Amino acid sequence: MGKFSDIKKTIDDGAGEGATRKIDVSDFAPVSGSIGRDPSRDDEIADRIARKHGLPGEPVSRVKLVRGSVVMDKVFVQGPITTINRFKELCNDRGGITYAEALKLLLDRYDETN
Amino acid sequence: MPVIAAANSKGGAGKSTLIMVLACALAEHGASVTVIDADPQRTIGGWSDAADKLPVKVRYDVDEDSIRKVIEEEARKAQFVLVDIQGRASRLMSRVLMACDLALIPLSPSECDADPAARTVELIMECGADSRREIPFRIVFNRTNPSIATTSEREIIADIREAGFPLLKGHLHDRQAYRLMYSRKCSLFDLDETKVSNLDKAKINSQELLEEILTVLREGKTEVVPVIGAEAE
Ligand SMILES: Nc1ncnc2c1ncn2[C@@H]1O[C@H](COP(=O)(O)OP(=O)(O)OP(=O)(O)O)[C@@H](O)[C@H]1O
Ligand SMILES: [Mg+2]
Repeated sequence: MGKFSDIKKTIDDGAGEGATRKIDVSDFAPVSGSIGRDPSRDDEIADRIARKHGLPGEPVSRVKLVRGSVVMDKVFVQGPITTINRFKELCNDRGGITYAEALKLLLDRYDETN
Repeated sequence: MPVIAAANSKGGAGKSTLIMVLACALAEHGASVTVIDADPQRTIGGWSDAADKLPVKVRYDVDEDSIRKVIEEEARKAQFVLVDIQGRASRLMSRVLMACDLALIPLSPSECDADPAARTVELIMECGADSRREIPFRIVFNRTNPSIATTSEREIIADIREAGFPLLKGHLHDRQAYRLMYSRKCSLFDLDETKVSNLDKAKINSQELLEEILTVLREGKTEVVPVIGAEAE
């Protein structure tokens, strides 16, 4: 496939300085059937590679926290954004409880089941 | 038909700008174009929502589950489908890479940007290897100064050459027009000549880049499909 040298020529060919010329695009047409590959197999491969590299499944956007109360002490938690998002969502879902309250909730739950 | 994606897990590398510029240049030359904005930031979606008229169709009603379907759908309607994705590697990104005919990796000429671009290349090659289909890609320098190449630009070019990765000869230059087409919510070709410095140069730059990309796509079209059980001569 095109290494550096393959494409050197392209732009020099008839690139008239200054003028904007017409570019012919008529040899490109919409496809009639599919784009020619098996979508489910492609997605399978894509997902396997994503998993292998730990690429997140959902669009990565920070979950906004809606909470009012005060946190009594500070812990700095760094981790995958998916985990942090889940944690924030839990806070949101419980009506905007604090991290400390959510943590207590999880710890209580943990105590109950162990 | 060709599905062209801009990918680079480095944020702000110029993916959306490159896609918008190419889309406008294609439309200017009479091509039908659909841009699929698959970035949850909806940069291009915002551009099109606020624009009075754009010469391209923009879709952003996609997520990772629908992206492939939407790409296929649009490839049946438009001559060119351009896909913009977010500046962070994700499962959606690998799904788009598997669906595209050409991946463009915009790269700003600074050392700290080379690393994420290299990882994006790696990901593309891995997708290609797993599917036994070479996924064509090109690195595209972005925001370069047309008159002088910086030291780091030259160093990165040397590095890319040494690695044997394909780099477009043309760059997307740093042009005010590329910022203004976004902030003024219009096509590059609908900007007011009198109010944008070097607009003519930006247009020429976009067309030269487009021509080079079309050549790459044409090379890809003539390429043979996997030679499994090919007949002997
Ligand atoms: N060639 C250029 N000339 C002038 N400005 C540019 C150019 N390329 C990018 N920019 C500006 O740099 C900023 C980032 O570019 P852009 O949004 O295209 O990057 P991106 O890779 O899409 O970012 P993200 O990863 O956040 O999606 C924008 O403000 C854009 O206008
Ligand atoms: Mg973008």
